Order: sequence, then C-alpha cells, then structure tokens
Amino acid sequence: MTDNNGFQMNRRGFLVTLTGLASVPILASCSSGSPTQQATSTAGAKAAKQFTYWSNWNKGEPTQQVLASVFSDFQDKSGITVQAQWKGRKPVQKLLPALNTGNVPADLISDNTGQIVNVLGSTESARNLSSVYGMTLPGEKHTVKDLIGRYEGYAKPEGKQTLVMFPYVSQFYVMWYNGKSFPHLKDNPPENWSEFFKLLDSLRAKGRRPLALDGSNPAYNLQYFNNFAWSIGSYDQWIKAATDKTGKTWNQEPFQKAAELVEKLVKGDYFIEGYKASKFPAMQQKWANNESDFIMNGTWTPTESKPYAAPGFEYRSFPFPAVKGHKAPPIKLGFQGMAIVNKVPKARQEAAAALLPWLLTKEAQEQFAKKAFQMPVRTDVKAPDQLADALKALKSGNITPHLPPPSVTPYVNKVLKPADDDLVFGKSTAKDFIANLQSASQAYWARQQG
Amino acid sequence: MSVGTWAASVHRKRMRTARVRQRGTPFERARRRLFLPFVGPALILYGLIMIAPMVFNLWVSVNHWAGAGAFTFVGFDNYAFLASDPVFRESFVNTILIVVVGGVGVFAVSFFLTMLLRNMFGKRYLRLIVFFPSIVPGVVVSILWGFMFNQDGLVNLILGAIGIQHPPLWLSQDNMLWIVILGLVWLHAGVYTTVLTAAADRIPPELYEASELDGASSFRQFRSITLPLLMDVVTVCAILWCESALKVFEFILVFGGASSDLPPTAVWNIALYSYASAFDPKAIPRFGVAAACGVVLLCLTLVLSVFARRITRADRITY
Repeated sequence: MTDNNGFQMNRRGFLVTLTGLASVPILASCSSGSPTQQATSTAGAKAAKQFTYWSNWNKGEPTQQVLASVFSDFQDKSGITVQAQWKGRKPVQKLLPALNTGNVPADLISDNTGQIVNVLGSTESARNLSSVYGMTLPGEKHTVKDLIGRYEGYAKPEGKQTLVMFPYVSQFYVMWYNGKSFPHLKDNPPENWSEFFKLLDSLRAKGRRPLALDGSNPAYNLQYFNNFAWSIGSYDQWIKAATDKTGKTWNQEPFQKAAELVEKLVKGDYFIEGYKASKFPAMQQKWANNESDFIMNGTWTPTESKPYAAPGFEYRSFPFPAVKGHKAPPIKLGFQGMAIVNKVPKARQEAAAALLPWLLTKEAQEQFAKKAFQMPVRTDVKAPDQLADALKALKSGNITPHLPPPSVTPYVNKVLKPADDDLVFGKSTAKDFIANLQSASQAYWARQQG
Repeated sequence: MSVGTWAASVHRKRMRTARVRQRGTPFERARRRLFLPFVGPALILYGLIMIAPMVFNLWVSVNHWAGAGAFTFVGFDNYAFLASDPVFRESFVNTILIVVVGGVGVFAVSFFLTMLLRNMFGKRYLRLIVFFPSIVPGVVVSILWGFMFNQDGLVNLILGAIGIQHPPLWLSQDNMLWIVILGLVWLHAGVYTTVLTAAADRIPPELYEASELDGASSFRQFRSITLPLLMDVVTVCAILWCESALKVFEFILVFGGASSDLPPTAVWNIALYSYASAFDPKAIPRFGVAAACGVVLLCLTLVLSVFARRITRADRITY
C-alpha cells in the first residue's frame, strides 16, 4: 500500500492486521462455548435473593402494571427482589446476542409462544420448567399443572419433551360482534355455518356486507380457510397437509370443501367493501363503527378497537361456527409466557422459578382480565364482559393440543398465505387454489431439501 | 583523477543519491515513522466497526445459525436456497424496482423542482416546504400514506369530486408496491431537491443571463447549463439514493403489515426478506439466510453505485 508521499506499508502486515481485526467477533463467538460453566461458577446464596426479569411489556401498559403488582406481592412474601426491566416488544431478540457470551443479563424473560418455544427452546437456552409445573400455588391447593397442564403441548419445542414456557395469559381468534345490534346472539350464537349463513343472508338482503376483514393482513384472511378446514377435517390433518412434501394432502375433501366455502363468501359479497385494498385497521374501524357486523379477530380486539368504537358498542363474541354436519373447529391458542434462561446461575434460576406460580393465583389472573383485558389462562376466574364469551369458548376445552412444528411458519408465510390471499381476493377459484397450493408446496419442500 | 576513478566516484554519488531518494528527506522519514501511530487507531476502529462485522456476516452466511447455540457450516447452501426461492426472487425484483423506478421518480421530481425554484419568488421558504416530508419519520409517513390511499381515503375523495367514480384499488396487493414507491419518492424528493438547488445556486448567474439573451427557454437553460454543471452532485445523489433505496425497510413493514404480522410477500424487498428470515415472530430464526441476504445487498450496493457513477459520468467542468 503506497501513500502519496511514497510511504510503503508492508502488505502482508496490513493483511495480517486486518484479518486479526476481522476475526475478533468470530473468536468471541467461538470462545463463548461454555457460558454455563462460567455462570454457574459465580453462583452464590446472596444472588438468589434477587434476579433480573426482561419484559416484553412497556412501562405504563396495563399488563405491565398487573405484573408489577404481582412482583410486589411476591417480594413482600418471599423476600426475593425482582429487578424488572420493561424492555418492550421482542426482548428475546434483544437477548439473543448475549446468549452467545458468558454474561447473560436476564434470568427470567417474557414473550409470546413463538419467541420462547421456537427461539429460546429450540436453541436450548431455556430451562426445563417441569419442576415448576409441579409447584403448588401460594394460598391455593392447586398445582401449576392442575391449571395449565393442558397447555403443555404448547410449551414444548418440536421433538423435545422439555417444558420451556410458562403461560400466564392466552390469545385466540373468535367472531366478534356488537351485542347491541344482535342481542339474540348472546344466548343463541350460531352453532353452525348453515345458521350463520341465514343470518348473513338476511343482512345481505338489507344491503349490508356483514363480514369485516382487513385484507392487508394475510393472517386474518387465512382464518376462514383454516377454521373451515379444522371443522370439516382436523387440526392434525391440516398440519399433515402443511408438512406434506408432495402437497397432495391438500387435495383431500376437507380442504377442497373449506376452499369452496371461502369462495362462497367471496362470490356472495359477504366481505366488507374495500377489504381487498385497505390498510389495517381501516376495516376493523368500520366494523367498530357498525358499518359491518362481524369480524374474525383476536381476543385483543376490544382493547385495540375501543378508542374508535361507536358509543355504547357492546363487545360480544362466539367461536368460529362449525360447518354443518361437522364438529366445531378447535381454538388455536397463542400465549404470553415466561421462560427461565438456563445459562444463568442455578440460584438465580430457582429464585425466578419461585415467582412463576404467583402469576397463576386467582387474584393475579383476575387482574390480568379486569385491568389489562387479557384472556386469563385459568378458566375459573371471572372475566370482564368484553371477554366473557371468549372465556366461555376457552372453557369448552375445544382447543388445539399443540403448536404447529416451527417449519410450518415459513411455509405458511411463503406458500399458504399468498395462495389464500388469491382465493380471498377472488383472483383464484377454490379449484385453482388447491392446484396452486399443491404445486407450490411441492416446489417449496423440494427447495428445503436441496 | 583517472577516468576509472572518476567513473567510480560518479557511480558512488549516484548510488548515494538513489539511497537518499529511497529513504527520503529527514522530514519524510519522520512522517513515515509517525504514520502507523497516527493512522493505527483509526484503522483499528474502522476494522472493528466496519470490517469485522462484515466478515462476521460473511461467516454467518455460510452457516445455519438460530442466533444462539452452535453454528453448522453449510457452505453456499444459504445462497443456493435464496436463488431457488421464488419469494426471494420476487423480493429481489421489488428491490430493483424501488431503486430504478423510485430513482427515476425522485430525480424527475427533484430536477423539476430545481428548475422551478431557481428563479421563484420566496424560494427559500418554498425549499423549506419541499424539504418538510424528509424530516417526518418514515414510519409516520407510511401510516398516513396508507390511510390516504384507503378506499374512502383522501385520494379517492378528491378523485370522486372530479368525477372519477371507480378509481383503482390503490392498496390491493397488485398495486401496493407502486404506492410504496410513490411514498418513497414523496419522502425523499425533498432532500435531493435541497441538495441540487444548493448546488445550482453556485452556478454563475451570467451563464443564465447570456442564455436568456440568446433566447433559451427555462428547460433549455436547465438542459444546457444547470444539468451539466450539477453532474458531480447528481452522481453523489444517485449513489446515496441507491444505497438508501436498497435498505428501505420500515416503510414497507409498517405500510403493508399489521400488528406483529409480516406484510404480504408481494411487497417484500431484500431487507424485509432478511428480517423475515431472522425475526419471524413465530419461526426458528435463520440467521444464515438473513446474512446471505446481507451479502447480496452489499454486492448490489457496489454494482449499483458503480453503475450510477458510470451513467452520470461526465467531464468535470470548472466554473
């Protein structure tokens, strides 16, 4: 390397320096192979008197306030201090780089099911919570397993038997409507789509487009096809189809019928005007202003749409009805949960573990429902009016037993959702949809193998 | 002195002169000694902040890695996967469309405004107004832009008022990318207009006066005077645009997405594809694929920067 003044830098020296610099992070990442050893060696009795919690909630959010109050009770009774850091959304992503080092800054972390099970669980960064599931709740006779044992399928990473997630509130989709507009539905929700279609047709006859849908969100669009398929077929059959390398499972009758029902909704103009070309939450806003009648959306809908809802809007809901002659589709659950990082000292892990049952006490669960409008995971608590129907649906016990395998998510994003969008937007018929899905699935899985 | 002795003496003198030249003057030697102590810290910082992450990214791109835990070396598998994935190919095309179509739009608007603002009364205040969109965060603009183009948004209200009853479905998946590009043009044109008008202010006014006497129109003045004399600045702007357009991310994420879900794949660009690979909230992170996207983006930046330089290349004009 020569500068303008004739300075000659030794080329080899320069390259060696550069390579040395470049190798710093690689070596750093490689040398962090034994963080557990480093961490456990620093374990001490004093450290167990406190631990650090990274939260996916921001300070001031209702759920944060409930958590802070639970922590306060826990600290008073146990003498263990919770050093809570309210990080806001996706703290697992923020923690990931530190997991490659010997200095992990969080002992307990909260996030959604996918982040905990698929990210922390699959990378073996979360502690097995089997012992926590066996703990008894403070002031109650129940064990943790009594209350959330039925969600164990959600807490295990694919192919593993370790329980890495501790769910404390749940989320799922239901059909929302304004109770003031349809008072008769409170006690007699449509049991199947035959009944529901009658109601929808009566609304169509009045010139209404009764189903609100924010088409810009492919996840919302997919609710119809999935739930029809889970009703006519089953959740496991759907997973089989979504992981079938040949794509041929999509040819089965339940999926064809499900696609035909979606096609019927599209061709019958049941979906709200503008759903094909709007930005979320435009259609949800129209629904909340009574411009449409029903919306298939999450248990977060009342919180999300309350600021712009029509005065006196009464949130009511019922589960996605069954297709006539078939069972009701299971409710696919999502959770907000906690995980203990397994690369921190054992004493701190134990301190964090002691806190977890406190999140399931009747008092805490009622606070989540009443103050934060979150769906409690316990079904024996009183939910606020907005969530009462949804809680009833959860109580029915008709839930999907486990998460889909992690490989299904990228498949759904890249294959199923684009094909379903075409169906929902009327760009393809039910027949085309199945054919497209089959060929696109085949090509997708061939790429994964290659 | 014999001829032989004289020749030997001349030779020695030449050798000494050559050695001195090679070693340089004492001042040059001192400068050389201080080169590393002075440049070294900067070099180390540059290496740590710029080069090392790039090399690390390159290393990750040839591995399977979930962000924590073990690396599995897979060679060029991640690149092969990208090449075979139609969603990546679509994202690649979308990226190029944003750079090229967006670039044409940004510079067409910027040149037009530069031409317009040159002699306009109150041009300083007008420049401020033109620059305004650039200081608003892209995320905010993205949200507002979405509502403007909703079916009963401002755009359709205006079109309805002038008699167009069936406007296009602006936010349908087929049109969404074009609306994103329009939004990016609106967002960025102000910056480049400001840079170009500032450069145009330095052009001697007598050139315009002479051309006016010759009867040149405003457009002719722009084509024959402003543009050639701005070419250096245009080149820099073109490179800056390529670099920023390749990395457009939050505008698309917010514009097309809802809550924690990803936007439809029809509007993904490479940056969004990379994000989806590493941070899909419901899937196992694929940092190897995301890093391979980063390498592709780096290569694209280099290629497009060279290309931008070549098409805007012109003889340097001093004025």
